[in-house]
Amino acid sequence: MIWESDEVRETLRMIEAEHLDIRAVTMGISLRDCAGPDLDGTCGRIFDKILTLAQKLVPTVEAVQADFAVPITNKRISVTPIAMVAEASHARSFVPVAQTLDRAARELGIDYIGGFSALVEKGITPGDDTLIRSIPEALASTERVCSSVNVATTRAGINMDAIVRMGRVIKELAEGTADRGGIGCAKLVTFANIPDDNPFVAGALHGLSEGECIVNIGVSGPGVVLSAIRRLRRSGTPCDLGTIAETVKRMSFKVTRAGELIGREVARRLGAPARFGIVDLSLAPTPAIGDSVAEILEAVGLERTGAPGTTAALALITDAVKKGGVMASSYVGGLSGAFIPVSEDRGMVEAVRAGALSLEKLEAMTAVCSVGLDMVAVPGWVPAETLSALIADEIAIGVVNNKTTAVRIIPVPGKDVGETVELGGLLGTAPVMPISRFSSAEFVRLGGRIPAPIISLRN
Amino acid sequence: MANDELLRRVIAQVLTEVEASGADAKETVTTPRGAVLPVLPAGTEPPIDYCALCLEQEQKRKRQRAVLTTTGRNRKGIVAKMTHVIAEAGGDILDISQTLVSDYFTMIIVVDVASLSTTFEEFKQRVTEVSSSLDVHTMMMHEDVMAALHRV
Repeated sequence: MIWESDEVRETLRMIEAEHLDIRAVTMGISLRDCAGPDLDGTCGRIFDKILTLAQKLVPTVEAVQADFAVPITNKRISVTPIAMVAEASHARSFVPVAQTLDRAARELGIDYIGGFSALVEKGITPGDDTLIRSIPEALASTERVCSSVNVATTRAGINMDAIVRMGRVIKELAEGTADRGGIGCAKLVTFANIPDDNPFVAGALHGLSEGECIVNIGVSGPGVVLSAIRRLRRSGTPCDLGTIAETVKRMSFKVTRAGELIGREVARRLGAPARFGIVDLSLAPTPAIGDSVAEILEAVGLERTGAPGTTAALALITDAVKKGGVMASSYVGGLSGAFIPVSEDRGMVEAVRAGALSLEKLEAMTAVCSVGLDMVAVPGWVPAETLSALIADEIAIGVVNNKTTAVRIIPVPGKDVGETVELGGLLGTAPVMPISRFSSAEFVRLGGRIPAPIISLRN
Repeated sequence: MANDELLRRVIAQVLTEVEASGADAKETVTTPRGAVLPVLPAGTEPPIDYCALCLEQEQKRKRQRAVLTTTGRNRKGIVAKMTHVIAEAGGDILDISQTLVSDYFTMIIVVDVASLSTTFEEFKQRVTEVSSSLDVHTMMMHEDVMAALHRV
């Protein structure tokens, strides 16, 4: 046989039973040439450019999916941070730009478009200021637009003034979408060390150093990793943590190779100016049964995610994913780690409900995996200052450890601890988590910048 | 390089075998693995670029294969009907294996789809139709997925 029947069967099992999929094919589009002195003109150019470049994205991805039989779950677009594209217009609000992006995404059949963003780690320009002010209305009045604000980098330090504003923006956005459980907040991420080539929403943007049109791939595969670990443990072969790391590494290699293959093929079929960018090696869970990072941790021997040992187990898994993936792809980028979004991961939701997983434990976990406090619901009464302080904590972990961290938190209007909010689709169900009642207001109000940590001085 | 030397010897061997099998040695020969090569004068050792051409052609050709996996409850005529669809569409079966585990039917077919008389999509559609009429499930994928997953 040209192919061993074991190999064929394994491929089938991975695709059909273990949810192996390409989570996102994201086309990054530079909008730098769309800037101009009047906002209407800018919007027109943005719309035309996105439609021209991404016109073939959905049909091409569908054709590749048909040929290779590997499901490609999402087709997405990321654009140059809008604060920079729209700044020259001196407009008082950038909401029309968000609506233009929304219209373009709808026209193209794209579920999310990322890049309603500003990079303010060191300072806020008038354009950044307008963008941040526009976020609540922009996200409440659109369906598919995602926004991100980078408030810190290891090199620049932490912009507390920006974090203070983000706390208020999140509150306002939750109120503005109160009728839908504050869903607007699910489309807004506050970042430290934001990557330029992240294919995953809501944090996707097309970085300033990127080319004209790039195809980035987000692979997935918690289900595949979970089954591999379960099989290993069931098989009765003597296994220690080293064996588990090895198993995860092998699976990660395979999953990433599939991502690389598909990314290159999509870019090739799209033709110039589209080029293949990177593969993001993240374990991205979905609400589907068995497609959960929490269940992986539990398969490693923890009674519940959040039990002591969780951080260590997550560190092991994340590292093994990177080691396996890095050899499988020639260009690795994006967030590359493991995502632990609470509402999108059935196992996480159950751990919260069982009282095993707290906000504080989640914060500790984010020190060893990618992203951060992701898709976390907290009571609606939480003051903006507390949200800002929580963001500052999470951002500090990223800045000091020279990694990306982020916060996507939903203060659910009118709900309290013990209740849940239904966000629908891939966003899942979020249990409202307890949060400290002690005030951080005085600390937050001091504002200013937290200087860059000593590890930033590497020259 | 030792590799170049080895390649030369392999190709020389392949050409000898093609000739020995009584194949028509006109302008080109087709190697058993599908590369089409210009015939070398008898006794000539193939140069490196000739070997490269052979490899390149085999690589190209390799990209044109699909793997079909059919599974389901056993019944009469599955192999017959499936292979019929493939032949009808102009596909060439390169490899086939079929087993039964109790009453469960599994078949793996590797098809050369380079010479399909229809598009890949139409072929896939036909295969799916026939599978469902037989109450079995067929998954069809481009061979590159297998190569990506299992070969370094």
